[in-house]
Amino acid sequence: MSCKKLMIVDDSPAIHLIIEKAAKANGYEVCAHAKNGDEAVKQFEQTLPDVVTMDITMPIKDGLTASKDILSKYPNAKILMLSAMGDEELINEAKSIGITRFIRKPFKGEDIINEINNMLQ
Amino acid sequence: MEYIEYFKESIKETFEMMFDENITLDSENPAPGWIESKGVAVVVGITGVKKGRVLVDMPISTALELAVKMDSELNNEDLALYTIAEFCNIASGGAITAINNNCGQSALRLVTPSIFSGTNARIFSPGLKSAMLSYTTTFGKIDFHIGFEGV
Repeated sequence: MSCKKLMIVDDSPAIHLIIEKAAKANGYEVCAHAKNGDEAVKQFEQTLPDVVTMDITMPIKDGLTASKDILSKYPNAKILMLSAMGDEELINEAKSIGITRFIRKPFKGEDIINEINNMLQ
Repeated sequence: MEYIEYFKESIKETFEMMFDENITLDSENPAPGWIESKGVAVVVGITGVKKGRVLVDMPISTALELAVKMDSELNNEDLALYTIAEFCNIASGGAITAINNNCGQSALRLVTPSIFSGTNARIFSPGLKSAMLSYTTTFGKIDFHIGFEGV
């Protein structure tokens, strides 16, 4: 079985490191890193990852807008939203653009992997 | 300050989840108009119905130890600064989420953190009513300055 490709989108290098470590330890290939939503949209089109971890609050373009851009062109894209925020309005906004998976920060690497495994089943 | 209890709760919960260590609130006082940084300062802006900011301040040695405590590979100064920025962002996000869910019509949002590093830095915050929460941890002292316009 070929290993699944993951793209990590977050403006914090510390978060990239933590997710990448957990992903590699669980057999995922990290095919792309992006530090804002604009980079995320471009990297998605170039690498077509199986799953994306997407932060919300980022410079240049936020994660909700980037997800909307990606899902409008690739409606089957699997995006796991990660955020320090998690109020009802924000979650409803995420759901309205097609995001169904959401994890509040802080998280452990294994939390992300469990959620990604569920998304790819 | 109206919102301060939400921040106290979120800071404690976030610190203990990220670093698996206890954090103890030593004092709560009105914040001075300026802050002389201990070495690392992170500012997270708050926008929405009310505007404000959260500033966390600590020595660089504390930032480095905390980062390594979270993950042994976060062992250089740049990664330590990003780790503390993420801590401030998550602690602020937890508080803002609770405020939005419990204090109707708040609709507050966070702005990407700004990081300041260096000695002899003074940071001014005119026009904000701020509270200073001083904490003790096994890695050193950490101060939070939480301010909002007109709260």
